[in-house]
Amino acid sequence: MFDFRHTNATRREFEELTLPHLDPLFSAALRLTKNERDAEDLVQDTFLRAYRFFDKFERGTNIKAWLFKILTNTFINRYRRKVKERTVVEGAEKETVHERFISRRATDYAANPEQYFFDRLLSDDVLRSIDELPVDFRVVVILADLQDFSYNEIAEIVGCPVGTVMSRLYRGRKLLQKKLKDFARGSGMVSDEAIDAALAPKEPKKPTDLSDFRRKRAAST
Amino acid sequence: MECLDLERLLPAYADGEFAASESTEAELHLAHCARCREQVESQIAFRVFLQTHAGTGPAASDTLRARIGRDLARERATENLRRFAAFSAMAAGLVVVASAGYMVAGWSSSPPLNLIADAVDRHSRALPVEVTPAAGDVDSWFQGKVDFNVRAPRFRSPSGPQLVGARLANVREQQAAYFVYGDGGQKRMTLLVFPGSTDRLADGQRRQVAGHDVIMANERGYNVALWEKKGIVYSLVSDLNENDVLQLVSQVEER
Repeated sequence: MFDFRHTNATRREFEELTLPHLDPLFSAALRLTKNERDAEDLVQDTFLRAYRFFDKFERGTNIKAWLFKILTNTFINRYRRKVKERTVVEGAEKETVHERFISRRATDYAANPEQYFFDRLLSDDVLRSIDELPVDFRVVVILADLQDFSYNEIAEIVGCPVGTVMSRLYRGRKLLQKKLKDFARGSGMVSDEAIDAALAPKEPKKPTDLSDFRRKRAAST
Repeated sequence: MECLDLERLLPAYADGEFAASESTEAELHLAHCARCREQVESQIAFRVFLQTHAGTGPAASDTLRARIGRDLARERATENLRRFAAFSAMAAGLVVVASAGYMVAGWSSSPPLNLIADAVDRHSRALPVEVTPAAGDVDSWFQGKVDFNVRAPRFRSPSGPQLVGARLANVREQQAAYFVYGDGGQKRMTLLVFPGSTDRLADGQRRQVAGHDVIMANERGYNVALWEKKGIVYSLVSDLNENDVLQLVSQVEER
């Protein structure tokens, strides 16, 4: 009826499950908000919300994905109020349609890594390039490439279909490679020829939705 | 599996999204197709590159850990208080009297008490203002500093309080605008403005003032009035009596 032990046990369980994910959450928050102060506020808010909704968390399911869902939702809700930034996103999305995909022959890279212009870039340039991605792309790149979530997990975290995750990831990576190339070129670290040589021989096609492909494949057999 | 089938699925394959049977089929093709293989290798190399440079960020600071710890302790205390209040009310078998009724309502939705206590804290500490009307346009000073449109509220009556200055504040980790008003004499009042809603606030002590649903509270001898307009919450604190505060609220011109 009146039992403080219940709340003490809940808090202990909550801390045991969630605190191991504090560093990855902070790291992702830093890439989302682009500054330490906002990242700390975002993570603090995420933990408070997670604690308040902890009874809704289904025990045994993926707590990291659940926490990232709260983090992402909190960030997006705040972010969407910032009209200015939204305009930037729309502009950038239009621009990506005409961008060329840059890829490097991985076999050449293995044989001759010093030629690989990405190698000349500093981690700071990489972080800045990620930070410059429009928010929808940034979110999926962070979740997939930096936090190693699967497409299904990302779809659940972001609340969109897997096909959308795939296409945002494709476009996000494409844009990121373009930004990295601009950095390398702008800093004079590498010649235009080397960059041109590093361009993919052929632009990969936009990805098909994996589940569509599976459905068609099942139907044809 | 042919190039045409596989090409659009290479990112998914490189990301390890294929089921075992699909992987085997894809690998059969990759073993014979240098072009597809190069694409997969380049996609994997790029991912490794990103993880190397940006995979692990700085660890969360001790300050952040402490802030989270404090939040959890406060939440737990609130929860315990709520349980205790429910238990006491039941044990006593009494209808809780009006003034305590507000407290219990507060416990069941912790934000109002925090908001009121926060507002009173700020008022009583008399924090220095960061901008004054004499020094420039107060509204434009807030531009770029907070993520909502700030227009310093005015009081309709010419003899009403005048804006002394303003500063930035934080309300529950959210940016807020904080205005200080004076009447030319000893009386001082503060108004905290931030995006939000009073929906979740306790419903005790509600008053209707000029079409506003105003929540009145008394905290440490100060009267606090809280109301919402167009998604913005206003929290006015002063040591005037309740009627005078309500009178002032009716004169506020939110813009």
